[in-house]
Amino acid sequence: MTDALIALLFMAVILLFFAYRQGKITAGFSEAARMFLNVLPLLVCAFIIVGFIDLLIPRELLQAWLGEESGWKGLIIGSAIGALIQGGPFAFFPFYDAVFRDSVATGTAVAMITAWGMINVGHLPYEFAFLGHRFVILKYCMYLAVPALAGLLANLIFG
Amino acid sequence: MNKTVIGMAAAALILVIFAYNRGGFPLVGRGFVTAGEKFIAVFLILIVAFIVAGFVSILIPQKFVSRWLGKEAGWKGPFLGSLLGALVPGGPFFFYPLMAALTISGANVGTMISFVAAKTLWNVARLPIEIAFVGVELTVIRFLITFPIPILAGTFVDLLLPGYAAKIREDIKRLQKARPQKRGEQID
Repeated sequence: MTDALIALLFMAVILLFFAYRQGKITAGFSEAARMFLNVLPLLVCAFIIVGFIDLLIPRELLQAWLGEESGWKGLIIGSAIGALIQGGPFAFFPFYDAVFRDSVATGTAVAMITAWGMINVGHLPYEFAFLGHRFVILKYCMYLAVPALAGLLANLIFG
Repeated sequence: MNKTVIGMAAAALILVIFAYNRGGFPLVGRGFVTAGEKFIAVFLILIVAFIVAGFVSILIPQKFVSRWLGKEAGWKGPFLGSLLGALVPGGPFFFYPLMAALTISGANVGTMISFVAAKTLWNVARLPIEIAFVGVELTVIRFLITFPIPILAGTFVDLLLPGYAAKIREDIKRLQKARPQKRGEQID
């Protein structure tokens, strides 16, 4: 999180510099404020949704679902667990390390990690809020099966 | 705005009711506290993210975006979109607004499909953390297998779904400019 903040601040400083040279500082801040106020109701809903998903889907349950499964069942359940786990990389990867690293097959791991990034349910509120329902349909039609297929490929090549 | 807000508020309400059934008011309270904690945790970054998104949208000329990420970019669009996804830091509260801003400035929807895949599959800020906790071998396997996906997916959308992409662009404009557009006002 701190890394991201530093990188964003760096970007903001560069942008402010260019805006200053073009005399667009005020315009930039009012655009930022307008964007923020426009999506504020959506953001409030998004945080409530993410907060409750986090609370209602306990981590122990996820581990119990996967059990000792490997093969195609492991690929699908692994994808589903990846898609449900909330939090950024600093939450997900340590969690993966602690809970799954020693017990899952290569393909299951690939499916889970890919699903966590690509089809995470926690992203849905943001996707609806900023890009609309048609984008969500397109993205999920294209990417829903990718984690399991990537896992299958990993099992076949490296398993 | 309106329809999306209603939909999301409904989804939030369903989760709240679900939580109430499971654990009554204490669990509902904890849900709101968790939501509040998440909000506070990202509040600062959120403010900076919106400043960046706001300045990007006024500073980056539409010509520039459409040359590098839009129609004029041709086959390079998905490739450059993926590259951008690999480099841009930040969580969903940042990169989804950024995608909306870029689309309004003229980026192709296919390029954004590439971007969103590369943001999670190729991202340079994420790979070191992945290596640290998952191990080098598995990270390399995961990276190699999923490597072509961002470019292939974006190219697919650009080539085969131009009509649907145009509708998505309209959706994004509507969500971003909910108020001024109400009276059928021209966009840009």
